[in-house]
Amino acid sequence: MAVDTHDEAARTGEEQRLRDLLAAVRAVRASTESPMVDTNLRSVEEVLVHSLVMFTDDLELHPYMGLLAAP
Amino acid sequence: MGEPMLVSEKARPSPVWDQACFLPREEIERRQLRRLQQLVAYCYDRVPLYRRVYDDAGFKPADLRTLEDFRWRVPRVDKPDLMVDQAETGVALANDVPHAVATYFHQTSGTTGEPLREWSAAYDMLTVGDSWITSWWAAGLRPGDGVYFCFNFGTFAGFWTAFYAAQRMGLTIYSGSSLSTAQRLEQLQQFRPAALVATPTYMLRMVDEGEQLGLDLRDLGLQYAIGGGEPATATARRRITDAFGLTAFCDQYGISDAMWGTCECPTESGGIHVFESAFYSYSIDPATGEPVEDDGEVGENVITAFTRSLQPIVNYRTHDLVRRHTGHDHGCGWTWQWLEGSVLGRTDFMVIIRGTNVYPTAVDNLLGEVPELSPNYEMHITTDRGLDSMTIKVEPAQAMSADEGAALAANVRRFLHQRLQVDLGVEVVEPGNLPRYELKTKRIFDHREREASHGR
Repeated sequence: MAVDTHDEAARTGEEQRLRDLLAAVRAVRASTESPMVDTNLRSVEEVLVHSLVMFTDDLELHPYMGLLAAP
Repeated sequence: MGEPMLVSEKARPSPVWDQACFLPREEIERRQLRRLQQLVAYCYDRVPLYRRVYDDAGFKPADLRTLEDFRWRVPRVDKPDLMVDQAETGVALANDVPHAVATYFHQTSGTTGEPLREWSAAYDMLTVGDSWITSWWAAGLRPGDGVYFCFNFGTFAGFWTAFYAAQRMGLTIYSGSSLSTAQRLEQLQQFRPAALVATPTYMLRMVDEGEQLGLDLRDLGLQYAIGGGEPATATARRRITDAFGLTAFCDQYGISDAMWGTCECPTESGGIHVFESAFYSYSIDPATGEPVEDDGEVGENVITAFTRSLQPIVNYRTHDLVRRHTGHDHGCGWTWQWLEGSVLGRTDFMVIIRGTNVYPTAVDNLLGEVPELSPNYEMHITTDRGLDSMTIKVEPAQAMSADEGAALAANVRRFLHQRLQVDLGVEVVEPGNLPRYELKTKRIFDHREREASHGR
């Protein structure tokens, strides 16, 4: 469906789907013994985190900028 | 076998890459303030350069409570600060983010001194890539379309960032690196990509050479021109768009120090949008440093990047002059700030003649309205008894007699005076007399410093 305005409900749904996928990708990376699987999924994880940054200001999502979290 | 899904059926019809361009202003600014507060706190704790600058100014991160605080109270940094940091530590703005996450290395051209070395993590590149893709998607490019790069891949980040973005978007990439202009035109005929990536200067060169070769460039089937590396002036855009018969011209105002990117407005509004999902920016008076708060006023662009992780860029002076609108309505519906006319010029080259600021892009736009002129011109800035003055060298589109040239100069001078309310000198030179450039056009020649030093 074409969209031409901000739709908060739709974006909330998109954000949740990305969060679920990110959790799944991180779980596979944590358990895999294959460098091929781990390396390729790292790229997927980067793109997922990047996409989430467009939805939220929760910077703790960012693996490097997670350092920004307030003490 | 079915068709591969280059883009999902539900996503394809969307006119925008991401709905974030429609966020209400209050939500954009709420997010920006939160990111800025975290970023400033982080930089104070972990980036020695910022710690020193903030301490020198008596500023503490807790002082940052509003965006107004950020504009008025947070100390700014400038390129020389980064260069000193690089000279002393090897890496400008080094911090706790481990260097091992650097995926990309580029550096500035260093034409005015030592190059600034730029390390980027994957996230930094994804962010600037999104600014490119936002423009392309809104213009009509879709995964599977072809894009032709007229770019010799060197150390400068500019079109590398577009290359990575094109790869991620799923465009078919053609590299014309190292080929001659004639060879590139031949490949455009063969492969018929939808888009061309080059500096506007080089696109003009292609137009000239194509015409010399007797080609009708409209037959190439190009739909989009993607410019970068220098501002695309209105005159250049018009000439390129007409010659190739384009659907859209996508301009990119990029600053590699910050991996900063902007987005072309889909309504061809004569301006570009700030990519506010990833950046915060505002304008200052370059002379006083005070924020310019009035909508539509010209000022120096000051930028902050939210995801420049290895080298955080916070409150960075660009010395680029922009006319910023936060409130605007030109039909696109986007809520991101709009920079009318893209980059108007550099603060270094701002000329004040009898109290009136003269912006190079304003002159360019007016020269483009004179049909007797070619797109080539030069602005020469001099000092006359302590006052700035400007003489513009222009070329007629076709050969003319000395008398006709003198009449043309007088007409152009009168026309500029009527529109700009200032008197600029105009000199007509013979067609082909002004140099043509390969990558970026040099239009401004500032003789003021040399004159001043001669006087010492």
